[in-house]
Amino acid sequence: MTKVLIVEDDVEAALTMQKGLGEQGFDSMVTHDGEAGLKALRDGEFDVVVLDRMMPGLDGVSMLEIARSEGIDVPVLFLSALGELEDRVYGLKAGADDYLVKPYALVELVARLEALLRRKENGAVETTLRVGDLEMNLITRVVKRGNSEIDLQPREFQLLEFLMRHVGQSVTRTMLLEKVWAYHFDPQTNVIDVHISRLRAKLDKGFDRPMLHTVRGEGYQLKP
Amino acid sequence: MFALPNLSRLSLKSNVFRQTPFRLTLMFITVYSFVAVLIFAYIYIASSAETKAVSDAQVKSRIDYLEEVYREQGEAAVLETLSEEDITEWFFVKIAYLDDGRILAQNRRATTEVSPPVFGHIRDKAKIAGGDGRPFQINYRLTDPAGKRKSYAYRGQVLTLKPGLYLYVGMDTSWSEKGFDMGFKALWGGGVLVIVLGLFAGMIINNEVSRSVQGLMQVFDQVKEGDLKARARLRNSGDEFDALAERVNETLDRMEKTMGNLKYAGDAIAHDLRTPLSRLRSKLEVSLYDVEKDPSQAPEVIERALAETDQLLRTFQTVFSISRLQAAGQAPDQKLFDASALAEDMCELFEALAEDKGLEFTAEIESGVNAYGNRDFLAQAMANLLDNAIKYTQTGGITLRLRHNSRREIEFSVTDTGQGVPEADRARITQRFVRLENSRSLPGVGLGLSMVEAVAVAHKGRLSIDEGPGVYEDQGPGLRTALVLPAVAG
Repeated sequence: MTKVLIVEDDVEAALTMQKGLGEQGFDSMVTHDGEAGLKALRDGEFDVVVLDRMMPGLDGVSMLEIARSEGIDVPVLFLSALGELEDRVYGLKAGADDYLVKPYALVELVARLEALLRRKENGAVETTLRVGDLEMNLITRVVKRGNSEIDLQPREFQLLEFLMRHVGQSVTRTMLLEKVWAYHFDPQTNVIDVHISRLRAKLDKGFDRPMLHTVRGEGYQLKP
Repeated sequence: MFALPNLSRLSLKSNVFRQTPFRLTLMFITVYSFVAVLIFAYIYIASSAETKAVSDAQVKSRIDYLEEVYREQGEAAVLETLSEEDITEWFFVKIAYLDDGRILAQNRRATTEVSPPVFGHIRDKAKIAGGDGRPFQINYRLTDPAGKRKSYAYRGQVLTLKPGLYLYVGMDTSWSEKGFDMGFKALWGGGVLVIVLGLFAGMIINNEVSRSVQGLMQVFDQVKEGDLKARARLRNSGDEFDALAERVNETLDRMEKTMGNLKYAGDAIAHDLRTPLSRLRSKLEVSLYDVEKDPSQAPEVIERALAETDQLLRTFQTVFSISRLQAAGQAPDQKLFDASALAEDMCELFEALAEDKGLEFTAEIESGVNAYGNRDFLAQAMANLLDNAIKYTQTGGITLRLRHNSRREIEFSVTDTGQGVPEADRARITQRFVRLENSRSLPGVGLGLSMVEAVAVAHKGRLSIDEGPGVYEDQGPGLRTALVLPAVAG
């Protein structure tokens, strides 16, 4: 079971998160300040850390900097109410792997944690991605499903690559905007859905079994 | 404008030594006096050396002459020379047996002196000076019969004519001593005058400066107490204090405006979130009855509530962003970026949306257009314009243009063939939460154009709203919205 360390000074928020993550199959431990978080991180084996930025005593950024200087390389996601661009850049520069702004949706948190965990596993450089009968050659940029080649626009290629790298996981619209389009704002329209439906048309057309699924209220999921 | 309280005036006066202008004056006086003393000392040393050299040379030539007379014609000739010669102006000549003080002869000037004390003085000095040939100075004071004290200074030499018989030639240097004396007196007098006048001037300057500073401090005190309307009084003197007061006033104007904006934003958020929040609350309340009757409906009810909450959070975020932009007055993290590439990106993102709705999508993008600003904010503004155009257009098409306009500004425009906005409403639609009648059925909360305008202003640009291309398939006249940014120099 994936072990998550939650460092969050708001007791109720921490417990809600622990319950939510528990429902999603994560085993989490909660500490309420930076010192306790650092101690837990030194003593325990965690797969990923959810770290609040503003805490009494040792704040999240300082705690992370100490942990990183001690060679602790567990993936860390900042969860903070400080959401401006400069805040996020500051947090990521301090050594965090991802940044999520409060208020957050549980699905978004889970999707991001899964993405972090997955990246940790994939150390090797790949040239071909495979999901079921779907194959993507990252060098020749040829995409095939079964025997038929799928013709994709450059952005569709990036979109599919991201989905294939997170196969089986829910990815949210915000994640796609950030990772595929590099936009850090919410266009508040269904523009991502339109692009997904175009990709879906190319990917699943003529096949009995659809691969690209919409997860209601969450986002999308590529399944083998 | 402001009456200064007596207390602060008092404290101002009592601490005058701790105030900058006064301390500067003291410093100036000290430095000035030091320099004056240095200059005077130099003049004194240089001219006194010159005086000595001149008188020593004259004394020497006199002694040489008298010695020659003595050697060639003997003692009597010297005595005769002295009694005949009228070298009364400056020289003071005596021939005396220093051992018993018997004076053999002296010139007329020497006879005017009261002799015994002077004579003893010369003898002592001659001994100290080590005998012949070395010039020395004697100073002495006498009280004349009228009781008046007089000072004399002679610089001279003693010559031994034969053992026990000495010739003294001295030259009156009182004039130069007197000159230096007067100089010293002038220096002291002048110094005292400079110090007194300097202190007086220091007080006046100090008072003047303190009054200006006091005025500013007064303003800051009022601001500290929460009175943002307080402003510094200008004296129209055009000096630095006026300039400072102007800056302070400008800063306060800006602060007041910012605080006003923040307050307005706070009020707007409170007001505008109250409606959706109460709607959410009543919906949840009613849903609770439904769920009580039929528990299987629970997930759907909660999902709807979640969707509403998300919408609320998004609204909140947008209002917050607009307010922050307006309060800051400029967008953060501005840098030079490729606006053409951003426009291409926007095309790619929104073309699909337009085509999905069956609208024709055209783009005319001038290549190599660079803009200066925050790419994320500008991208969001462009997205809002495109999104609006697509949302309010039923048939026809959307045209996206990026180009330098006739005023060389960078213009990102979106033209649609929708219903358009009546001219009377155009100024209104950039206000927050304003939604026109024909848009109420469509999703949105009425923040899109407010955001675009805030972004434009934060980049020293503007949002312009004009009529579109005209009537198209019974729809019209369309709308043209443009985000106009200042051209990049160079």
